[in-house]
Amino acid sequence: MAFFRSLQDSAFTEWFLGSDSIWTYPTVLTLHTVGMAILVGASFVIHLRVLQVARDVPLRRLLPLYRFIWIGFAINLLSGLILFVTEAADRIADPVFAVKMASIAAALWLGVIVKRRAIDRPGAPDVTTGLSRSMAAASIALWTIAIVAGRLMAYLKSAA
Amino acid sequence: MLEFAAWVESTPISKTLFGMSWLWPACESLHFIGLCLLIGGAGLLDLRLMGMFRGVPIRHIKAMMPWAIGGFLINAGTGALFLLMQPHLYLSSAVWWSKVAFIVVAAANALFFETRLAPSALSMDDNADTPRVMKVVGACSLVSWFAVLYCGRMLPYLGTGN
Amino acid sequence: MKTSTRVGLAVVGLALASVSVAAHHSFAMFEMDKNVEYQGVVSEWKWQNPHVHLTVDIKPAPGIDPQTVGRWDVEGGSVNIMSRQGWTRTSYKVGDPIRLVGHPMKDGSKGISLFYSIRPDGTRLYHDIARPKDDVKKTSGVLP
Repeated sequence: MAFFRSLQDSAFTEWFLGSDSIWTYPTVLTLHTVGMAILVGASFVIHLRVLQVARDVPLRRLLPLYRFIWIGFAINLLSGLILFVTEAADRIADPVFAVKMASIAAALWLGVIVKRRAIDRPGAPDVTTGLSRSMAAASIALWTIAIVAGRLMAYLKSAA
Repeated sequence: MLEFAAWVESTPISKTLFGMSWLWPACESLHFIGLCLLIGGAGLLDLRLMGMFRGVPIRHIKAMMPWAIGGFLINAGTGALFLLMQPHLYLSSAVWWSKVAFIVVAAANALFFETRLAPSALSMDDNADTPRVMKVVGACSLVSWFAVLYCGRMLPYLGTGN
Repeated sequence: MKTSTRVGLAVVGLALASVSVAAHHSFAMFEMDKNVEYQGVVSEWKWQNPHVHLTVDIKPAPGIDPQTVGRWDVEGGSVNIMSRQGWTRTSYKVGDPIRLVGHPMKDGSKGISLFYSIRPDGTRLYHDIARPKDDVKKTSGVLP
């Protein structure tokens, strides 16, 4: 716990949050939104296809989209770490933050399983099975929860 | 502008909506979800127009578009609510007007595609590379929507730009 | 109903349901068309993004509205926007007296959305570009 407190009370945090340059806090926050658009945007498209939206597109043809998922995730992992450091002590004890992290982990994990089952598996049909569809729907729901939790974090800050 | 904003904020509808404390955060969450649907769905088509996913018929990719349009409508709706509840945050902001301008560019670009390029896009050889005009339209769309995102997210920081 | 439609409705429903608990410090909780003046002493000063935040202690005194006595949470804007209005990291510090005008919380709890502070020389430091209709409805004992 003291470790997280030392991060939140660090000179870096004071400089970063107190800086009036748009290249510090505002840029990191915007990068986090860009990463979200890429990561969740690509995930929504892939999993909507698994749910048979745009069903004439062969599932395997969407494999290049996974590159964008990892790019978006990388952007958000980095920007997220920076933002986390500045609020480390508050967020490590924040249930909303825990929900966000758990949702992201679960969404990514389900995404990997869906990819293996419905796309990578030799002979996987373009008409997906009920199990793949359920997992795709759950992935979409989990990304939604992650986004809502992320937004709620701004409102349920511990005593600002 | 400030007087007009003050007048809007004094109307019963504005006060009632803003008086529902949960509505603003709910609109924000929906606005983020909408943008993911929009950028995801439109992004897929834009990438196809730029030459990615060669061999996949454009008309098959376009079947994802209703979801992108749904995302756009969610954002237009929540955007209208923000504007109705607290116009003074937006109407005097150069950043917000820039956001509107980029939305207009994105919409005009989409209209150009639908009216001028769609017929050839839907009938072209799926295995051929897309013509340059299509690549430009696809790129313009992606850049515009990310510019919209940028302006929106930077509003509380760039503010009025003064 | 198609599966994809179900998914769409579920997404929207989740978003709305999850947010109904929110609104704790949403600025939608402030009475934005009410301007109230407060006078006290700064007990906490956080010059930081995304919101500058300070707390003000108001002590009982002649001319001070007893309802305003206590510790108030004051929420400002971003460091970027407030800097442009003339605020700096050292505009106030813990222990400084402060006069400010803001919008109180609708539920009567001690929270204020900052509008502007009044410097000792009478000049106003606005949190953003919005300007008052010049109707300070209530004071805490300070002459308008």
